[in-house]
Amino acid sequence: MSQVPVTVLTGYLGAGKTTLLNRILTERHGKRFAVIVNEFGEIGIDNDLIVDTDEEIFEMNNGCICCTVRGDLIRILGGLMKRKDKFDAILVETTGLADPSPVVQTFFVDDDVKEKTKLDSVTTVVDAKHILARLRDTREAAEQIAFADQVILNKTDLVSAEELAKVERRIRELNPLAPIHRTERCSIDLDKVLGRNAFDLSRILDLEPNFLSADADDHEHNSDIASVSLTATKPLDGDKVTAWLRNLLAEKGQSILRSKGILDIKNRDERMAFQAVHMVMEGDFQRAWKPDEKRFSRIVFIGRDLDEAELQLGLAACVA
Amino acid sequence: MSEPRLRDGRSWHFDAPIVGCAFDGDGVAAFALGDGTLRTISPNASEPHTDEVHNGAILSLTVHPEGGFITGGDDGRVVHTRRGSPHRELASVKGRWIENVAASAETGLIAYTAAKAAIVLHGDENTTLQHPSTASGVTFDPKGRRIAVAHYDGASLWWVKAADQQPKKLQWKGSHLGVTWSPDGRFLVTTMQENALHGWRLEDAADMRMSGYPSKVKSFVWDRRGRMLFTSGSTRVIGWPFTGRNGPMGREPMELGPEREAFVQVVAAHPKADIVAAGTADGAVWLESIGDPGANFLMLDGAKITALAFSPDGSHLALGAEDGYAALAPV
Repeated sequence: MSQVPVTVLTGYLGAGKTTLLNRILTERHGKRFAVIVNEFGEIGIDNDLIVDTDEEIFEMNNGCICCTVRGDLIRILGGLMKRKDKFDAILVETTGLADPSPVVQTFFVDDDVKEKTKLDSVTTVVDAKHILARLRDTREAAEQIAFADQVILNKTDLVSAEELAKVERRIRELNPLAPIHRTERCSIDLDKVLGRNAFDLSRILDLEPNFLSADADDHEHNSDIASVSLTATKPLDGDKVTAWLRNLLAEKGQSILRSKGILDIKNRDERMAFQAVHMVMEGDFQRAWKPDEKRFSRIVFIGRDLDEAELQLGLAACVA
Repeated sequence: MSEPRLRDGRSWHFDAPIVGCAFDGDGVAAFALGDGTLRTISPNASEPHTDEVHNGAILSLTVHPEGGFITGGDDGRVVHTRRGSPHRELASVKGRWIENVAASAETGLIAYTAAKAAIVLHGDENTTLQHPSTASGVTFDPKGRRIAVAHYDGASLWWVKAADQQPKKLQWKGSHLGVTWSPDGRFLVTTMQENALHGWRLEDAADMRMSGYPSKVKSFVWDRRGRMLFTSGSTRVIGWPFTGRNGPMGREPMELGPEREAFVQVVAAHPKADIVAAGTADGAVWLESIGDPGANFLMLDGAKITALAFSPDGSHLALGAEDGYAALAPV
């Protein structure tokens, strides 16, 4: 039985999540969606199921201190799967103030959820006009961007080209991997938003983080979230690098929000791909390196207070 | 997935998942479906009768104390369906799902949950009991005078009729889902989000942790004497002893049935004999006598079994699966 893809929509209040949802639901696409929202807003579309919920964050007693899940989501997804009519996709809108980790971890931790559904992407809607201010005065705005598999940069018509460039630089600092889609009134092709398979290891796009210029506006913000991109040109020892990642995430997983990597393992023809949400990691050998492909390892960590030098040393110690 | 092989009995293939099944006191079997229909089969009828009860999926099913069935749906309604009379809507909560219904044969009271509330119906009146988080399970005590509600970080016990009361709170960290009261009234047990059960001895609220499962426990049932609690959640049926003052504390659970690869999903206890029934993720349904190992397979090779119920006389087992397959098998 195929798993129903789930897209999580995050974004600060007023960024345009509801506008995007309404666009997705009213477009003529012939698909059936279930939408899980926190309060009935201006959504009221026929033929689609809208479920209203209160976000309930539950801690898991599984020895993983930062492991929280959305209890309401586990129930609702279970209930939706009992229906006769199946859905092409499920959209989950989180509240503007939500930390995205519990909703994402739900898809890795709960066996019933994993069996029937799969996380397609975390899509974060960002308001180009107000995001810099939100990044200064809130913690969640940065987390939502850091967690994103893609960013919809909305209201681009309300800012100058210079302001827009500044906003994009800031987003890149927080998250060098997520593609940025510029929109006005969230006008974007449905195909760009849905069906991303962002959590499918075999579809981890070639990681080409946009390395940042050092002169970014450091004085502009007080957020401590940043990304660290590491590379290793020599092949790695598979056991060593697995142990290093496991220990690193067990120790620092609370401050590492997301990590992704493609690894070149000694004596293996396949690339190893991994990704993690806080401490929850999955990884596997994926496809063979192509003959014309440059073999090297690269990892991106997004998190708080990351010590780049220490991480680079850790990776260097895994060289076979 | 291969075709189900039912050894004996009658079967149907409905086009929505079977959410639950039950027999009422008259021996009528009911299957609750994900398309909102209730399919009922009288003891002598050849074909099921279809009632379109809910607009959406049925999420919960129990037997009405006066006969017939109570269902809760994702349309926010609680409905009594009985053959020969029109459906009766017992309650309706706009925009909420009714994920749990319970009834007491002793007092005839009915309870359901909607979001954080558990509501007890007394004729035309009702009592609304609020909780700090979603009420994810509800059950009456054996006398039908109290109810227990499972929620995050524990369970709450309430008197069904007292006004302005504070609940007795049983606390244990984590998310508690299903809840059952032991037939002797001494213990309360919940299923949890983790792969474990939690229990309390009610005289002193002593905690009882029942863990070690390889998967989440979704189904539990007391044997006919109330001495053992059978559960799903493993490759075999796990039975916890509740005899003696300490119940299962410090004791090993019993394992019943064949050791197979697929996990047991749902369990049922025979009303007249020491027999447990189990339905598995790979569509097997088997019976085993307690203390007499050797499973008797009623079915093999279907979709995940989601519902099981014995008839009141123990002559038949109703079973339902995730793909809409339903059957009545002689025991």
